[in-house]
Amino acid sequence: MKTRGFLTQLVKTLSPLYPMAKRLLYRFHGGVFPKYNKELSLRQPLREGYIPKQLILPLQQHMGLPALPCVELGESVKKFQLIAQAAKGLSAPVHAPTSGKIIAIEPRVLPHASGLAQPCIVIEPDGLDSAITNVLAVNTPPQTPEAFKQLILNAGIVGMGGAGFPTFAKLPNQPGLVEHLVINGAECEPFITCDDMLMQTHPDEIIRGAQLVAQMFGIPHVVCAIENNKPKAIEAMRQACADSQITITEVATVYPMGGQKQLIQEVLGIEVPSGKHTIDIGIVMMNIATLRAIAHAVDKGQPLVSRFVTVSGLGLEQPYNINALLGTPFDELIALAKPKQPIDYPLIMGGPMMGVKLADNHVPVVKTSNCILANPPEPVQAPMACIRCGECADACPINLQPQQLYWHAQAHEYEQAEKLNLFDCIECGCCSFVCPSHIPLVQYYRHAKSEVREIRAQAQLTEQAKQRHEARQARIERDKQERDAKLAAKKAAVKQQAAQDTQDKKTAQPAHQTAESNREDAPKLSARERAIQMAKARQQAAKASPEQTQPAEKPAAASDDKRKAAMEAAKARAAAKKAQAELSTDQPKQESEKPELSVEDKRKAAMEAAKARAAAKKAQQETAK
Amino acid sequence: MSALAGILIFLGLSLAFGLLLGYAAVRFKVEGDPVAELIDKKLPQTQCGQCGYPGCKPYAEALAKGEAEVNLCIPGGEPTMLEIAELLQVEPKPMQAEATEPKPPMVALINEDLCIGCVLCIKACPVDAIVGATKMMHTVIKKECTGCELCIPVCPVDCIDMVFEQPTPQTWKWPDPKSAAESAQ
Amino acid sequence: MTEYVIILISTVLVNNFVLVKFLGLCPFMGVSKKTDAALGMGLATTFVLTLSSVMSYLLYTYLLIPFELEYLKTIGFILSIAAVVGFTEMAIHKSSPALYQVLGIYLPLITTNCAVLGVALLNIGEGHNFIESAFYGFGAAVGFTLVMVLFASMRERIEAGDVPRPFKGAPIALITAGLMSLAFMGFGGLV
Repeated sequence: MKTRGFLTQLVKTLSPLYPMAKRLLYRFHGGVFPKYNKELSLRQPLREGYIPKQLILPLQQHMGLPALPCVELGESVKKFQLIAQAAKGLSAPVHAPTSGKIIAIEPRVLPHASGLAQPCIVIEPDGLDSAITNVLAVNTPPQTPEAFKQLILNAGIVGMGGAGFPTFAKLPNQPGLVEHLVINGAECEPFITCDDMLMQTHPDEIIRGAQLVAQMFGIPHVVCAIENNKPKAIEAMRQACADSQITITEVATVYPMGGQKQLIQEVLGIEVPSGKHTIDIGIVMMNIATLRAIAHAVDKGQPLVSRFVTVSGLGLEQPYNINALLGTPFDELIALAKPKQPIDYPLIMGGPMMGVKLADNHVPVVKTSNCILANPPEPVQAPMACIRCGECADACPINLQPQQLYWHAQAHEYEQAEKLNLFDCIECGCCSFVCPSHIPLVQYYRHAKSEVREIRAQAQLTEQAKQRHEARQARIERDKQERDAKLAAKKAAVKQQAAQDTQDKKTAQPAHQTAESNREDAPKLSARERAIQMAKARQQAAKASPEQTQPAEKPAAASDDKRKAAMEAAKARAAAKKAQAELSTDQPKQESEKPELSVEDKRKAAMEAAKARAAAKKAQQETAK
Repeated sequence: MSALAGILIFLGLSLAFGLLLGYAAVRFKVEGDPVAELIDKKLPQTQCGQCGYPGCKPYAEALAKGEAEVNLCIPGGEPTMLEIAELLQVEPKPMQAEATEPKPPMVALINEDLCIGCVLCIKACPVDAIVGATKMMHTVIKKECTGCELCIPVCPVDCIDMVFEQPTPQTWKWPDPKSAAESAQ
Repeated sequence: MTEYVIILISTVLVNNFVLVKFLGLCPFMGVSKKTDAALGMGLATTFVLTLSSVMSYLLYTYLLIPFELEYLKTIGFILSIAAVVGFTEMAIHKSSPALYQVLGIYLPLITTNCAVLGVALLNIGEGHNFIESAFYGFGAAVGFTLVMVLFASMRERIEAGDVPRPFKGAPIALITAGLMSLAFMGFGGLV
């Protein structure tokens, strides 16, 4: 502790001369020290109870599958009522933030970098704010982890720090698997103070949520990490957890301290391995807002319908924090903060480091929106060539090589970028922040990541298509074999008949019989061959007969055609007769002598049959004309 | 004498090496065609038959044998052609006019009001992406459709259209900052 | 033992066949676009070089000298090299079809790789014994592989760089090769 105090002192003395000396004060690599501007939004008191004219509730406010609406157009809903239920798998339900009428279920623009429209439920509030109490039907707190997780799912709770990962999916199924619960109160992005405000105003609810989770999953160590630029929040939290086993840790003020992996490394000294989740190494991290939502769900049976949002920015007269209903449009909240000039520029969702510029300012607050930023556009510095100064590598909190990643990303060599652990990048923006050439490095990584994802998805689709095609080929082959087998079975039946015939003949011609029985398999073979011949002949005859009758049935047909068809039919019949004749006379002898010849015959017969069929078709067509 | 010895020695050597290589040819005989497999992996697996072969695999096999041109795969377009040419160490050939621009991915969509349930498209689909039964409405499984367009000509009532897939926030891609910067200049 | 180490160091670094003696430049430029292919080429050449230098030594000492046929050594060496290359080609085709495809024409061209014949002839010229010949061949091959991989890595990196248009492709590769050669001259005097 003493050395730490000394170090802090030393760094304080050094930092005016060498600002990066501050990097000695924390455990992870890199990090930057932007201008925080947090005081802007802390000047105003917390606003509550604002009900906008319309609430727009996207069906997907989380990672995973969109929720499925379970209300109808024009239906009146009460506060906390379930309006869209979770899909199967990774999903979260949506509840009505206030009472009102469903006026639309239609695609609206989402608060997403793409500016795409997706299905939303639009509620027109009636202003009464009449609520259903204990909508989640919690009478006694859940006793098993499964029940607890189900309750969290039903309450629609997702990670409120930014990623929006459904919280129930983060938790294990049985107690004792988690060693550490880290409560994330770091809030390292500039401008944002909503977590700070929440910790100042409702520390007891946060601690309650943490205790519930810790008890249910048997987590022995609970640490709450708060950056040391929030003294009021630290004080409030300390008081709230005075008589519990939760410890409050002050951490250095550095961006990105609030990143999951960074905070774990800082607080526990454990580096989360690449490609692993924190739960794999026995750690669960939760945002303070998430824990408060859990406390509300368990204690009051209330689902998640509102969240703290910071409305700030240099373009606003009175930045503030608000406990906003989900679905409140951004532009209405901005209007409340008295913009210095009309907002004709895109708002930023999130902080200045990781936030994204919105294509449309009329988008709703969702479960993951922590900040709405109105910063008037500054002249953008045109990116210049990379000078290989290496500042980005020094600033990278994951210890990646941003300059190399940049080279590969801009040359579209995504495989190489992946080899350099592109997917470990948390898109924190430290590299872009320090880049003296103003290269939008993070944009390159985001683009590269989405390209790689698309390539992977495409490869998967291709593989799937290949498999399906092969399965289809196999099925067609199998069908064919089955058909052949059926045909063979039919032939076998005929064969028996034929065998009967031979038997008769044999008795009639004993000389022949002896000749045949010289070869053991001869009778069998000849019988089969004969059966084939007979079948072929019958087919031919069958083909020929409709041909004969069809033209006759159509009196309108020209006599010429009729004659032709009749001739064809006659020819076919003659051929069939010939085949039959062959069968009855030469067949046994021929068979016993030369089985190959029968194959020849077979082919001939088949050819003739095909010819007859073609002729029949032609005749039919002609008569149809 | 020396000349004769030289001839004999080199004859013997050639024989010995010949035997060695003959043995190696038997020992290291390559079954199947691994090159065809490699090419098959590069093909888009739409199974559309636009190359004139009944599917991607037959085309890959023909390519491996050197019986087919490298520029026949229209859905794969120029990138696939270049990859195959690189793999086979042959000169790239320009694609046919209609295939120079890679088309954005499209899927078939059956207009369900018009469908008469003739099952012809089901038979035509190379990846079994159409479900339905005789005299019942058919529908395309969007996820499985490769956009090969084989179902379009067989439909007797022309109820199948090719539609673009609308991007969702999940499939949306961040723009390339480089091309954005270039277009701004 | 020392002389073998000296032979190795000398062939790998000081008298590197590619960068100092300028032998085997064809695959050096041809197969150095991708590191994987360069490594594969290096390994194939290592196999061929070591084996062919041993074989040509045996051929020369036990067949050509006793029958006073030294003047036929070039033909004899080419014969043995071709046999080894043919063997290697089949082995690679069986074991690694992808590498076989990548190496393409350069694999059979190892036959005409002047480094391979050069090593065989230099062995005779310098009067190496059997083990020295083996080390000389192996060292030459290791040197070849080393510069191949180094050069291919540099080319991969240059590919993504902002090379002035007239220098794109082969010109910048040749300049790089020249600079590498200069750098390897620095090893002169090491042995």
